[in-house]
Amino acid sequence: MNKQLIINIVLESVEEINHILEDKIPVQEGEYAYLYDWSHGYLDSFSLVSLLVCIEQAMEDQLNMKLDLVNLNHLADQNNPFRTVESLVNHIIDLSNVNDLKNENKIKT
Amino acid sequence: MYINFLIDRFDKNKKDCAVIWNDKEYTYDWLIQCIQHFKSQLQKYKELEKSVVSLEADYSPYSIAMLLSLLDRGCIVVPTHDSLVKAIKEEYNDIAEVEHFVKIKGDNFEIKHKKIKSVKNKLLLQLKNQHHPGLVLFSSGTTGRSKAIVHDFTLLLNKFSERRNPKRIIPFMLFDHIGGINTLFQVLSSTGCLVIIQERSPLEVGKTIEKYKVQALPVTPTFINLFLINETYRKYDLSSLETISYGSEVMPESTLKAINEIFPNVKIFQTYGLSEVGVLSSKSKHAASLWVKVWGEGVKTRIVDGVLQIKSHSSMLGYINAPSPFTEDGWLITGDMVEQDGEYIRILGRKSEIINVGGEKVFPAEVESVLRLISGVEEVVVSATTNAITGQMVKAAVRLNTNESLGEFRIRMRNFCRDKLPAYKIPQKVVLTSKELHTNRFKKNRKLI
Repeated sequence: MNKQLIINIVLESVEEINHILEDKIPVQEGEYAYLYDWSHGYLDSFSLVSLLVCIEQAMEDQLNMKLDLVNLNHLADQNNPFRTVESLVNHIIDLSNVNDLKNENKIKT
Repeated sequence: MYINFLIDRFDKNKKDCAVIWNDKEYTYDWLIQCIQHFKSQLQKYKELEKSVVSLEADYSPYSIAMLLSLLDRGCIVVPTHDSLVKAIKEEYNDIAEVEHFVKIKGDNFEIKHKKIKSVKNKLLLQLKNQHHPGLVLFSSGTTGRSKAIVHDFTLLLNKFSERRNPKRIIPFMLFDHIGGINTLFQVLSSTGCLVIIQERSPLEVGKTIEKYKVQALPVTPTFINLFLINETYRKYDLSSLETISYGSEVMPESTLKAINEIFPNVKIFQTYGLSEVGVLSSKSKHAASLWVKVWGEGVKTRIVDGVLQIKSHSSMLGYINAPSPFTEDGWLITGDMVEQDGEYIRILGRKSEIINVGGEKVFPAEVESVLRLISGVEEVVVSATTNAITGQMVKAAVRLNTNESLGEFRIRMRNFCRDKLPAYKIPQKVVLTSKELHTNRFKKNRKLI
């Protein structure tokens, strides 16, 4: 999985969501920009949902990859993956690796 | 015997035009003769009396004559639009326990008989035992499985005992829809004229209004939207139009405003009807208002937990294939969520279509009404989709006439909606499509998305 591609998708989606935010997410901070965090976050639950849906649709359109970023089973195992751009990118990579594994298993069986 | 009052009226207005079909006029005199001809043909089939008969047809002077002939023989008629796919027709025929099939072919008809055991459904048997003609309609199933609705036709006919002003009307709703049946009998009972169109497109409707000086147009809000978008009203002389009535789905406020501005001299009003109770008399507060008073002889309304309930003499007997929607004291639970202001109600949407975003209720029609104001939006359908954070979220399928990317449109949409809708009502998921977002009955197609 090309990490840079995913970073680009996330940052493009953040730029899109910034249009509806009064307090904009500092995209120039790249991976270190806070997203959804109790003390430093810029998103509320609705704008978080909008951001995640944007990313899911972009992943599907650009990488032909269907992901459920709010997979509760997966979320239970980790700290808030939506805290920063970096944690979100890592979360996406984790999920896509799980998907790849599943696909490989499907092919084997 | 059941339609004698109609035949008497036809007889008194023999020379008037009853139907215009394929550019030809058919008078009431012609209709009487056609009914007599069909009735004598049907006499050959003794077993047809009081049986369940599928009438496969679209509007034509012949199908109208056949419908009246079958009802007069006490048949329980299942109007089946000939455009339905075979599998659906078979499913409907099985559910309604159809015993005979009548298919209109041009100016003739063919009959087929089905070898089945005797009819078992209690409602159909009730009609047979009472010697009453019946009607079985199928709900469109826009959001779920179609329900088979059984009516006692003698109760539906009561509404047409008084003769109204005859008008030229395009029967827009299909032959197998309660709105279509209502328009048909409204026109026949007032000896007006049905102007039948071959294609339900805005252009065809516009052309027909101009050519035959159509006075009344009963349509759906979705059709009005399309009529406005392709500016049909600029291409044809529509000055003969006196009324445009709308119903069958929630009217977006923006569409109502636009149609009133374009047709300031046309009376625009809402009708309220359900396949389960027929089309009831209704009166809009004023032309640009979505508030409507539902009334009529023997019609009572009440609101329980925000849902409209109706008691009416013309209510269906019941469903063949679904649980009863009646309360123990006989009120029909319509499933329509409404607001109330004195004797007026405002329909918000179907209870089953409410979107629950983190505990907040969203009615699709309200969001659609705003989205369709965005330039470039040709059609939009809003529905619920699941989301683990908020339970459900608002999803919009949009047909655009621009070349924007999804991201570009989403930015424009969010900016537009910002001061018009609270955040939870602004669609979180948007899907762009080139497909038409309505059914062939010009209702929003929520199944599609």
